Amino acid sequence: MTVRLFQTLPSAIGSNLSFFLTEYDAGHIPALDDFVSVLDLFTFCNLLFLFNILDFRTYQDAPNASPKLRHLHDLNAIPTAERYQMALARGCCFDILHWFFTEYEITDKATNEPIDGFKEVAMEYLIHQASTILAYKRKSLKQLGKGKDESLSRICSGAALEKQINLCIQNHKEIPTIKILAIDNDNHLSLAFPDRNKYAVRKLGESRSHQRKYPL
Amino acid sequence: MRPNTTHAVFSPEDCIFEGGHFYATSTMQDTMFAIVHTFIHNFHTNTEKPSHGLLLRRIAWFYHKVLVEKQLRDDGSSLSDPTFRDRI
Repeated sequence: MTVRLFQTLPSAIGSNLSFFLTEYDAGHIPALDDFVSVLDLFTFCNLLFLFNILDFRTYQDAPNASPKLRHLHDLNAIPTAERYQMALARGCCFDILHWFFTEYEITDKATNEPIDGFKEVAMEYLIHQASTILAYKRKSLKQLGKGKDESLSRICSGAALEKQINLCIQNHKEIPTIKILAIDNDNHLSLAFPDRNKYAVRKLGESRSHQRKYPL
Repeated sequence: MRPNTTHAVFSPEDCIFEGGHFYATSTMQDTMFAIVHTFIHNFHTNTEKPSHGLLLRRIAWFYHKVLVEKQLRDDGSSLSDPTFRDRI
């Protein structure tokens, strides 16, 4: 990326320096040259998948909606247009993940063999983060003690959070049917990928990448 | 300042501050951790009504355009599609 920066710098200075400094788009793309960079991309996708779960408005009642409609369609305080926009963004992220696995493969460093990265890394990471968020919330509510600070549980109870996570994760055609894990040891909660030194990333050759099925 | 960093603003006398936030691809993991902490503990950032949902959706659109649709020019800039961006 640095090489490209200096390759394009002279022409950019000649044309429009301010445009170059603010609009050099290639510099914003994940490098994807090591596993940490891949995790940045996967984390971004997970953030979009779980974004409405992490929005307080998800747990607030929709204005002017009957309780029956709220229950049937999970209506909440997020405007319908914004929910459609977020659904479109989630679709973009699934598309990006599928693109990634047509261009790259993830290998186990111990065996140097490729693994099913979509299921064993990307989706496992999503399930891990969703499970951790739920355990973190329960731990937070438990530490506060019942009735000591009702504002947190009133905004979002543990049951409401679990319901939203299940709505997002379970029964999604793209996500393997993996149950949300019950995390027993809540003293070591971490949203980070559990073992980032276990895997490596490798770019596929052009002939191999074309053999992969691009599902969308 | 990196994401997920606790911070506060002080001034010796009354004044008006101006600042902002941005998202960096290379610190996306910290960004997600910070958003989760904010949600779990009901913290608030010092920006009023941050439009981070809109910004993140636009980043998703940008990644999709550049990585999947390969709309990146040789000079490093990407093609814009205002119709799609309006929808997201």
